[in-house]
Amino acid sequence: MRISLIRCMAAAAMTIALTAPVTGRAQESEIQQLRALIKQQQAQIDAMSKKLESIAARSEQASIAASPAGQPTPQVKAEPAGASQKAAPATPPKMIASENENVSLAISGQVNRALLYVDDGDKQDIYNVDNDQSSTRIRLAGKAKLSEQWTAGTMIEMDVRSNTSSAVNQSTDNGVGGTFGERKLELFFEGPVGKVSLGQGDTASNTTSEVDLSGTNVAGYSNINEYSGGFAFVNSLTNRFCTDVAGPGALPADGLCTPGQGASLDTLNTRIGQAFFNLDGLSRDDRIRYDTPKFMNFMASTSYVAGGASDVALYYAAEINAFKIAAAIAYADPSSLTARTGIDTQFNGSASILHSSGANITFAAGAADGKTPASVDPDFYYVKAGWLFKDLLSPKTKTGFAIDYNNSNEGAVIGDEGDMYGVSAVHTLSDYGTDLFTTYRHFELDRIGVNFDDIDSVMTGARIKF
Amino acid sequence: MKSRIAMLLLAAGMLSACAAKPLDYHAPGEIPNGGGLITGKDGEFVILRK
Repeated sequence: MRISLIRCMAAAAMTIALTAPVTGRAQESEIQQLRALIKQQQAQIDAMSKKLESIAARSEQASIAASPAGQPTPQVKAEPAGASQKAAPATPPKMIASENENVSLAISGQVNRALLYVDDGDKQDIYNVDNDQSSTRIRLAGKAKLSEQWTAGTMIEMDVRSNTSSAVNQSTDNGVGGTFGERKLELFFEGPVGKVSLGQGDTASNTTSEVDLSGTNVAGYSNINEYSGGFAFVNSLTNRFCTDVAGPGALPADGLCTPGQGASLDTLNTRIGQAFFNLDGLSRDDRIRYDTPKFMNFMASTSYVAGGASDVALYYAAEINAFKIAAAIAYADPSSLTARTGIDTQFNGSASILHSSGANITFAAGAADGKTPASVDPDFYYVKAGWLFKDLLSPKTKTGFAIDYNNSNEGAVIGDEGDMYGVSAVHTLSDYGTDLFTTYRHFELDRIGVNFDDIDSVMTGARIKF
Repeated sequence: MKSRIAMLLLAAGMLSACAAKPLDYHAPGEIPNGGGLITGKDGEFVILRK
């Protein structure tokens, strides 16, 4: 038994001794194969890494090209050293995205503030106002491409006119407005047969008295009311801007001008916004509107306003050689609107021409028929001449100068005649979305049997589009 | 004479119309075209886009 065990152990020892060199050679061979495999895999990894870098570079370029105006998308903030082990995404993730690639929602807006100096012939004061000629506002514009030819969209535009230049006056110089007001709350569908809009928005005739290529619109255009419409003309005899009357019961006249306040029933005299006007169609309202496709640079439009008012308009805008030309005419029946109770129908229009030299001229006119022989029959005309300089003070700027005149008749009382003379200057910093403006305007109101003092005003401010 | 002048004006108008290029007119009271102080050259933030 012991012998056999010794034999067995000896055989095992001999087997191990004989096979050991063979096993070592096999392991060495296997190691070499593994090394070769590792080298091969390393080469593959290097190749894939290069491909990944190339793809990432192309993706980033595509992202830059797709972003607005070729601007690069915001970059992810660099991580501190040591934290870079986590692979950063090739392109930064978008904060908000849609599953539908054919939609967009854009936010834009502006702030337009100014100081308004007014001399009403009796007193002078300075007012801090929102320039209502292009009020402070914010806009949300949505658009979706329904097909190759059809587009649907939404528009929400609200303004906040704190101390608006169209409402402040001698008795109320603060706390006017300041709440959100509707401008546009509409949806539309647009395609090869035209555009249909539904909701609160521009009626077909809105802005048809306000076509203006002068580049000085923010300082002053045909809508005089928005410039300083709230100020009342001072009666030269009483030296007051309002009529001081006795209150209800036995309350006597208090000798103060406090319109609508306390026991007094004082009423403001005729205001600039009543004496001067531009009969600019039916403004904005709840309506359904149809615009035709453009044909030979013409576009026709019609709208039907809630309550029964309606209008039609024709627009033209074209560039002919060295001239830019824009024009519009409109006919409106505002008789059902409570704000136009005295007007039966009105006809108005405007045109503006801008030469490549910068010279420009603008004209607007309109007339309305009163409902009864006792009603006023307002009419007006407006002219503006100006010059628009490019890069006058610095590169990428425009500087516009203009003089304008408005003649408005029977805005408030039969036989009234108003004359306005103005001078405006606007400096536009194109890269910063900023307009700096100043305007001087002189107002005169002639009325049979009453003398009013003239009103002088200067408005200086800035509009910044954000 | 008047008819000739009218014809001349009509012909001039038609020729001008043929040479006319579309103009993207922007109403004066609206937010102006072009860039913004914060939004840059595009003039608006486009917050929804794939």
